[in-house]
Amino acid sequence: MQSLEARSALDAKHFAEAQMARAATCPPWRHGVFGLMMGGLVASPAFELPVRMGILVALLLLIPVIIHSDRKRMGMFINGYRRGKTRIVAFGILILELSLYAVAVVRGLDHHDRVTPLILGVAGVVIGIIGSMMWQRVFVREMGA
Amino acid sequence: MDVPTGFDPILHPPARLQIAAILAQAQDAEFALLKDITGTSDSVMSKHLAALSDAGYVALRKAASDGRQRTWARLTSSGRAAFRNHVKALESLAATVVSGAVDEHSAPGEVQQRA
Repeated sequence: MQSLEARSALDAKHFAEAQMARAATCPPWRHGVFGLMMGGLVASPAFELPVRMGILVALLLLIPVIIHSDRKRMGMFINGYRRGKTRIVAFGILILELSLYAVAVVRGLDHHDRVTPLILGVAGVVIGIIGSMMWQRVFVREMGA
Repeated sequence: MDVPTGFDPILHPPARLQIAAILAQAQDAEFALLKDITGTSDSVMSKHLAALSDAGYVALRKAASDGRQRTWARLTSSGRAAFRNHVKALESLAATVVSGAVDEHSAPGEVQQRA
């Protein structure tokens, strides 16, 4: 195999990755749904046990629905925790959201404070939306699109 | 020129390399998407996927969606390793062009000595 042939093969690979990143572009509602899921989790300690459990079950049921929707819309599913630079963004979102959730649990369950988890929930929505948009931007850049 | 370690003839055709590149990033991908990105026909894509599947690099599954049977492909762990090694081999081959060009331009004395 010649060196130029190798370069041409790598170009073909980069082209496919860039095309794939373009096909994987999420509409705004998809970022919104992710943000609402994160915010819902963080705000859940503001509610009594039956509602709290209802929120958590709804969030768990939404995960396969979103995966199915992504597959149907794009013809593929990309795991948020895939290897690459996006993993830093994914873990950053996870750490921030879990930190908010931990504070919401302490305030809501130990101190019976209903307001703080709701406020933190709103912050969770915003962090989720911004994080999801950042993830996509990093992915597109990494794929050279 | 010697073929570097890791070079995989199964992944050598550009369309197969592109299929592997897409599947290395996605958990799985549908036949139609792979066909669109690689710019191949149905029959050519079927042959490439069959070759990758026979080598154990890709796992295929059929799933009904909107009343139609669709084929989904996923890269196996051996496929992922083969793809990684193949890309490394290509990069090392491609790098020889750059280093060769640098040698040519930066060391004219060496070229004269060789001549």
